[in-house]
Amino acid sequence: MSANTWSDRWRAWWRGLTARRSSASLRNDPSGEPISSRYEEEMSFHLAMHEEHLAREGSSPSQARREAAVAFGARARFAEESIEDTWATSIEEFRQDASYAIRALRRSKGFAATGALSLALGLAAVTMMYSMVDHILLRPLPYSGAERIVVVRTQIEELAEQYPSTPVSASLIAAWQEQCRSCEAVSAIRPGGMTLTGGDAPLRLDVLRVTPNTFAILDIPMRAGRWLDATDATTPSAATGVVSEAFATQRFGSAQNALSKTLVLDGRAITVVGVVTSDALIPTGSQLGNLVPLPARAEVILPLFLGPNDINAPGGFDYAVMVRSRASELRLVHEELDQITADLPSARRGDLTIRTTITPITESIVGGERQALSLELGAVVVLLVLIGVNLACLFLTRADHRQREFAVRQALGAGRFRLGRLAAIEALLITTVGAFGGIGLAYLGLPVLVRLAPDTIPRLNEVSLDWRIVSVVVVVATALGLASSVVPGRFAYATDPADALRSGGRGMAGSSRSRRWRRGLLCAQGAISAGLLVLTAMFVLSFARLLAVPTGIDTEAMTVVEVSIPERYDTPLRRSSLLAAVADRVRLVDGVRTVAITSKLPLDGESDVNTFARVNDERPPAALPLANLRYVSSDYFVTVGMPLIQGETFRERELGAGTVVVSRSAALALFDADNVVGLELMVGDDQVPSRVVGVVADTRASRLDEPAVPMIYRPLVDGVRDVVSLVLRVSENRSPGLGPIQTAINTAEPAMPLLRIRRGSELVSATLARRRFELVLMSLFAAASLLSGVIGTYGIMSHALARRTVELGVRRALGADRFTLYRLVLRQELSPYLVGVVAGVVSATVVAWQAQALLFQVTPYEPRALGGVLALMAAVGIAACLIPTRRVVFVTGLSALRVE
Amino acid sequence: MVVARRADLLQGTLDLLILRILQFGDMHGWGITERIERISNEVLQVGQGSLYPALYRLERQGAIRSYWGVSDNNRRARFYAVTTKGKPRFAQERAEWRRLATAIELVLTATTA
Repeated sequence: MSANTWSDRWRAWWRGLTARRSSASLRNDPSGEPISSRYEEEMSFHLAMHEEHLAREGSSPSQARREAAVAFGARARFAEESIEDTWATSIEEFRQDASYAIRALRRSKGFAATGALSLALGLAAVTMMYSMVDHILLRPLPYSGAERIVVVRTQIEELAEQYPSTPVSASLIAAWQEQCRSCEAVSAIRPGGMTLTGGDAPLRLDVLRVTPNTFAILDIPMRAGRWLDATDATTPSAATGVVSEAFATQRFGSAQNALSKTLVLDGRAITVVGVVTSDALIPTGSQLGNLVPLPARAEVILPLFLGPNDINAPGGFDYAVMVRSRASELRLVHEELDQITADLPSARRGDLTIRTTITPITESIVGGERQALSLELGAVVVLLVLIGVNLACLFLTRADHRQREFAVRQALGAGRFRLGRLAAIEALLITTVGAFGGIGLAYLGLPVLVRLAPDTIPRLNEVSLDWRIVSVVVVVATALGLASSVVPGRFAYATDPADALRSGGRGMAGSSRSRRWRRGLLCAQGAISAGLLVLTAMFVLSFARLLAVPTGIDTEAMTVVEVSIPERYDTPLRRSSLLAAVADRVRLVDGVRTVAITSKLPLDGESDVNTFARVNDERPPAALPLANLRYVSSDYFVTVGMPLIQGETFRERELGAGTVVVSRSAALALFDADNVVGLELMVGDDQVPSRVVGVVADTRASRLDEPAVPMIYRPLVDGVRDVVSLVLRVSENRSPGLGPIQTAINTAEPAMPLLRIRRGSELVSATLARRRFELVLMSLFAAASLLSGVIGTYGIMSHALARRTVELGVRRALGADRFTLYRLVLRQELSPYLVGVVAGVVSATVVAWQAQALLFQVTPYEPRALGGVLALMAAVGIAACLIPTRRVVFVTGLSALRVE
Repeated sequence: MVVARRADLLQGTLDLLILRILQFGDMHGWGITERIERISNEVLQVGQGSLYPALYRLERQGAIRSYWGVSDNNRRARFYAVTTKGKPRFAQERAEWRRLATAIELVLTATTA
């Protein structure tokens, strides 16, 4: 440190002393008069009288003045003594310390800004993640008695390998509703889609059919009107329904306006009797289990009627079921449901061995998020600890720099308490700025984070920054600031002043205590940064490997248009000829090259699951493999870029001739042969075999991180359903808009609603949303930790080396070459850091091992990731060490000794 | 605390002296110093470094009060006066002093230990 900065410090210190005296004017005596002016006046009177007295006794005026002044002593000392031990003093001292701390921080802007900024960033991250965890995981669901609501599903032994759990059939629901004593209510939900007509263009709506008691179980709040009740569900075709607030506002202007209005859904009139508030928590997606894909935002809710036809059918495992238990002992409900299921006549069970599974509703809705969110919160807390360590490093460095100043103050009578308090006030100032900055950043950042989050995360609309979280953050920040300042401050400020003055920074490298602290902090720095980096590296690897999974289709320059076929096309033949006409129209749209048709695209979920078998297969139906059926036009494979491995695709002319194309995994599952073309298989309940004409590559049915599902492709005419996708291969620079496509479709059939239009790349990105979000979060944390770690490590190293300037200078003067000095410094200063890095990598490996479910094809022992992180951390550490060393080593021995 | 050239004031006795002097009438700080010195035949000397802290302390404790007045030579001066609360305080301090003085005297005049 140069003489210049020392003189600056002395001046600052002196200013501090003078400021102390003048600020005495802030105190008042009981009469309200400023005590200092009373004191000044009293003293001058006293002095004058004394002078007069001395003069009367024969002293010369100047002698009298001098003697009186000497007798008077230091005014300052009196001022201090006369008002000691009052409460006003403590407040005043506090005020002095605060203003001194502000001035001191203003002089070291870099220090203050680094501290406050890193704290603000860390606290913002913690605040945002904690807000999400709190609102999503920790708060009880807005259902009264949520702990007694369970989701009931079935486990069909014969299918358990492929589907560990399955939805519930109508016959089971009826049996449970009738017989279950410990159930307060058994409700069923079945999703679906319906076409709304009566507007400009037909519109496809997401519809939920629910038993009316669902409303009571889920406590769903209404914006207007009433809930559905038992009287609404007395006939198979509903006449009344409830709509969502968003739909009501969009369609009718307001919730109130929607009441009593009529909607024509699939040709039947439905009267709106109620409007559900937009913040109602209705399960979505696969929250009630797989194979019942609930819409993200149901627009219409209709009463579900389970008639004899439904109940007596043996199959139909299509319903999601929720049960409200009478007792809080959920085991009772489970045992009873299991018993009723087992007692059901075999025919009504579809000859299957069925057991039930129950999951508390809270677990069903938010349980899937627990691991990821907890890991993210954990990462954030670790980040906060790192920032605390960093702050401690900063304060330690500062404490060391100010040791002389503090020693002088101590020698002049400042108590240890007062010095400690000064350090604490500095810390509090920094943490206050940091905390408010952090809360501000979180306030701005939280909506962004929520928008980035995939909407499969439940309760996202509930996430907000509230006073509870803010107060927690403020407390945490204060504690962090105090801990990180007072702990290192304690030893740095409480040294023997004489010692500190004598050594004057000429010590080898600070006291052994301060060295121990420095080493501990460096070790913690290394460990935390390395740990977060390793975890992030694993998320990056996981994401990269997921991206590398072949989707099986070429999504570039692809547009997918989903349409719904009007009901009057009631045979597959009529439907397929309509689709052919539509495809011909759409093909003419400018920018469209080819058009193919499929019942469902890859990555869009499983559907039409059926068994398939060899001809004369001896196995019972339950032991047969399952495949998804897809109905496609003959040019589908070429259009989506699905390579044909064997044989050929079916020709239009062969339609109805029972030809199929199978995916590779379907071929492998059934035939033990290299060439399967020409072989025959039976699909589901088919009476006639189908002939395999070709084999295509596998595609992922719903997600990239799940194995390929066997697929059997049939021609459209064999049984296309009411909702299909047109796959458009478009020219890259002239992709057509929604308008021309809609016009083309409605030219072919005016009553045909266009459900949605997506780009091909959206198919992939939708399945990656969750992982992308996790990747973004982890990368942010890692970047913050690396940045913060670099600042902290560099700060502490350069501080350590500044303390060793003289020592290194002497070594240099005595003939040590630069290389030797570098080696010495690296060995001594860097080793605790490297120990920390290794410890961090090891602990991150353990965490990754625990959290493997979140990682895709990544083992906790990824040599490349671990090696990369180790190398990066070592490089950072060496740079942080060598840059300040270089500065010192290049100084010649002599000037190093002159440094003080 | 106490600055005295010819005799050290025992801890706590300054309060007693101040209260005694103020029984003769309200007085400013200088006047109190002067009277203590004169009455004690210049043996007791009170430095203002001790006097004013003692005055401020007594005032804060409510034993004396102060007000601005005019001194003999027509200058504005802060006068101190004993309050009703200060009178029993004086009696108490004085009893303390007597007890102490007697005790010391007993020790000094003792013939056997």
